[in-house]
Amino acid sequence: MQRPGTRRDFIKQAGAGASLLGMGGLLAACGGGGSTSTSTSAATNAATAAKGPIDVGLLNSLSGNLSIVEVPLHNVSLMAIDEINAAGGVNGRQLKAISQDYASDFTQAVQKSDTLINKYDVAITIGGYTSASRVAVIPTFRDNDAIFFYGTYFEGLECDPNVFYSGAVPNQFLIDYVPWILSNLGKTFYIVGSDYVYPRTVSAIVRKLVAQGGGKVVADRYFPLGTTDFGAVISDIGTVKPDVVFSNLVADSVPAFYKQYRSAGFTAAKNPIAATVTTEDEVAAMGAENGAGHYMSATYFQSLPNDNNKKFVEAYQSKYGADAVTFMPLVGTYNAVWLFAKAAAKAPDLSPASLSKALIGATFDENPEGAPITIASDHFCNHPSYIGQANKQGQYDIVKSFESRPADPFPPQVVPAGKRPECPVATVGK
Amino acid sequence: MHTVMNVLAQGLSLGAVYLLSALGLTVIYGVMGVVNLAHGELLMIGSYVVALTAGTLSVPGSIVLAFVGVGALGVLLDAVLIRFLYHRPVESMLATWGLGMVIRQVVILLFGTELRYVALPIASSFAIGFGASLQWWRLVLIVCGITAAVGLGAVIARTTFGMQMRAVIANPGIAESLGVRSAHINRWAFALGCGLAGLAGALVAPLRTVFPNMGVPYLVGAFLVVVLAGLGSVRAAIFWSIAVGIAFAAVAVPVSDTLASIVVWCGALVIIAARRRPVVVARV
Repeated sequence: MQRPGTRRDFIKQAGAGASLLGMGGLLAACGGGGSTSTSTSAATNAATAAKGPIDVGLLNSLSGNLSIVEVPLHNVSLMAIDEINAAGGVNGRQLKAISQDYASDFTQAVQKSDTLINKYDVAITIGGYTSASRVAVIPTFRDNDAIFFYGTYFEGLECDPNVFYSGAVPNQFLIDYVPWILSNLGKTFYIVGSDYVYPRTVSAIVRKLVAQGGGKVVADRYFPLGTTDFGAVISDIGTVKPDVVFSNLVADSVPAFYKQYRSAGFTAAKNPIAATVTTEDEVAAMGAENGAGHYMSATYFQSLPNDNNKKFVEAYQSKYGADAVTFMPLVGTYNAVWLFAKAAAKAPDLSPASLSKALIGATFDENPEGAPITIASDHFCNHPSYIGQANKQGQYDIVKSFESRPADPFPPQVVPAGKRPECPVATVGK
Repeated sequence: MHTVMNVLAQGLSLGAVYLLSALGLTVIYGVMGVVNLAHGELLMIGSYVVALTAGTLSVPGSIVLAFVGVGALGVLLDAVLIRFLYHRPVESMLATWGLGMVIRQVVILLFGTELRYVALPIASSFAIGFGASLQWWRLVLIVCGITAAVGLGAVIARTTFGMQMRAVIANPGIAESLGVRSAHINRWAFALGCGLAGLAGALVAPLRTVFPNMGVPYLVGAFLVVVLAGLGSVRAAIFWSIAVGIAFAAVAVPVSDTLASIVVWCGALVIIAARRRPVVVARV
C-alpha cells in the first residue's frame, strides 16, 4: 500500500536536512583525501573490456520517512536495469545495481556516496529525492570527481559539473501553462502557495508570465507548511473574486484547501483552480467531488495515452502490484538509468570525464512522458508538458499537450540577466 | 463591514478548533498534573475513527464513537503508563511525547502514511450579512466547541463526579480519607480528557486533512490557549480560544496567514511575559 501521496511531506524536511549540510561538507572533505585511486577501471574501454558487469550505484532511502517515495524510486531503477540487461546490456556488459540505503538521513547519504565511489568504484550514482538530499551529497561527488544523476523535478536555481538532472524545472511546465490559462480561464490570478523555496520560485515565474500576457496577479499568499485551515484566505478570495486561483500548495494543505474552497460555494466551472502540485494522490485524499473540473500542469501524468507510457505503467504494475502508482520522480529516475546506459554505450571508457562527455547529447526515445528525452550541455533534459483536468474518477484528463521544452534552471523571470551562470560551471575530469 | 464579518466568522471557527483541542489538555493537567504531549495523537486517532467508519456509521454515530473510543483508550493508557506520572509535569512531558511517537508509528504501520479522505457531511455555506458567508461545517464546529466547553464546565461544577474531581484536585489525601477513590477519579478524568481529544479530531476531520502526523499543530494550538488561560480553567479557555481565533483571523483575512501566526505568537509572548505567572507548577 505504498503510495506517493504524502511524498511532498518530505519536502518539508528540506529545512531539517539543510542543517546537516555543514557536517556533510566536512565528511566529504575527509573522504576526499583517500580517493586518489578512484576509477581504477576507468581506463578500460567499455566496448572492448572483458564482459564483467558495470556497477551502478543506487543511493536511496530504503528505510525511514523518505522510504515511502524512495523505495519506489529504487524499484524503478532496478526495473530499468533489468530491461537494459534483457536487451543485451551495454555493449554486451550487464549492469549491476549496488544499492546503498541512506535511511532518510543526509549525513548517511554523504557516507554512502563515499562508499559507492571509493569502495565500489561505481560508474555513476543515481538517486536522492529531496533537494536537501541532493545538496548534501554534491560536495562528495565534486571532491571525488564522480557523477551523480538526480531524477526528481525541483526548483532549479542550481547547476553542477558533477550532477546530471533528468527531472523537470519550473519553466518547463509553466511557460505554456500561464498563457493557456490567460486565454481559457481568465486574466486575474490569485496565487496561493506553501511557504518554501519551490512554490516561491514557481510564483515568481508565474507573476512575470501573467504580466507579459496582459493579465494581473491580484494576490500572492503563502502558508506555513502543515496549514490545513484556509478559511481566512478563502473568504478573501470571495471578496477579491479572481478569475483563477493558482495553487502551489503541497501535501496535507492540498486536500484541505480544495474541500474548504468548494464548501464555501466556489465551483470549478466558475472559479477554477490551476495547480502545479495537486497530483492524483491529493485528489484521492480530497475526494474526487472536490477536485473535479480543476486543472494541473505537469510533465507527466499516469494517464498519458502514449505507447511508451502504457508499456511503462504495465511493466511497473506487473512487477510491483496492480495498484502501484507512477509519478513524476519515478519516471525521472527511470529515464536517468536509461540515459546512463545510452551514454555508457557510446563512451570510449567509463571514466567520469568520458562518461560526462557522453552523457551530454544522450537520448532515450522511449521516455514515458511521450517525447524523446535528451541531455543538454547544461546537464538538464528537455520535457514535454501537459494540462490535465481532474475528472469525477479522480484522474486527470489531458486537455492540452505542449511540445518538449529545454530546461532553464535560472529563468530570467527569477534571475536577473548578468547574474545567470554558464551551466555547467566547470567540467568533470580536470 | 464585509471584512469585519469575515474576520468574526473565521475567528470563531478557528477559536472553536483551539477550544476543542485545549479542553482535554486542560482537564488532564488540572486533575492529575500531567502535561499530555500525546494529545495531538489522541486527536489524530479521533480523526481516523471518522475516516475509517465513514462508510458504515452515520456522521453523528462516528463522532460519538470517536469520543467513546478514544476515551476507552485513555483508560488503558492510564493503567499502563499515565498513573505513574501523576503530578510530575516534566517527566510526564517526556513520557507522553514518546507515547505520541509510538501512536504515530502504530497508525503508520496499520493504515499507511497516505492522506485519508473524509467527506464533508454538509459541503455548502450560508450568508451571514454584508456579503460574507460561513460554511455550515464551521458553524457545527463553533456550536460543538461551545457546547463541549459549557458541558464540561457543568460536569465539573454540578455533578458528583465533578465534585469528587475538585476534591482530588484540592487535596487528594483528605479526599481519600472521606471515601473518594482518587485513583478512580484520576482514571476517569484522564479518559474524559482523551475522549475530548477524540471528539476534536472527529469534528475537524471532514474540514481539514487526516494523516498520521496531523496532530502536532493541534497540540501547539491547544498549548497556546492553555498557556494563556492557565492550565485547568475551562472558562478562561473559552475566552482565550476565541480571542486567539479572532486575533489570527483579523490579520489572516486581510493580509496573510504567515503574518497572522507571527502576530499571534508575539502577542502571546508579550502577555505571558507581562504576567510573570509560571504555567506549569509541580505540586508538592
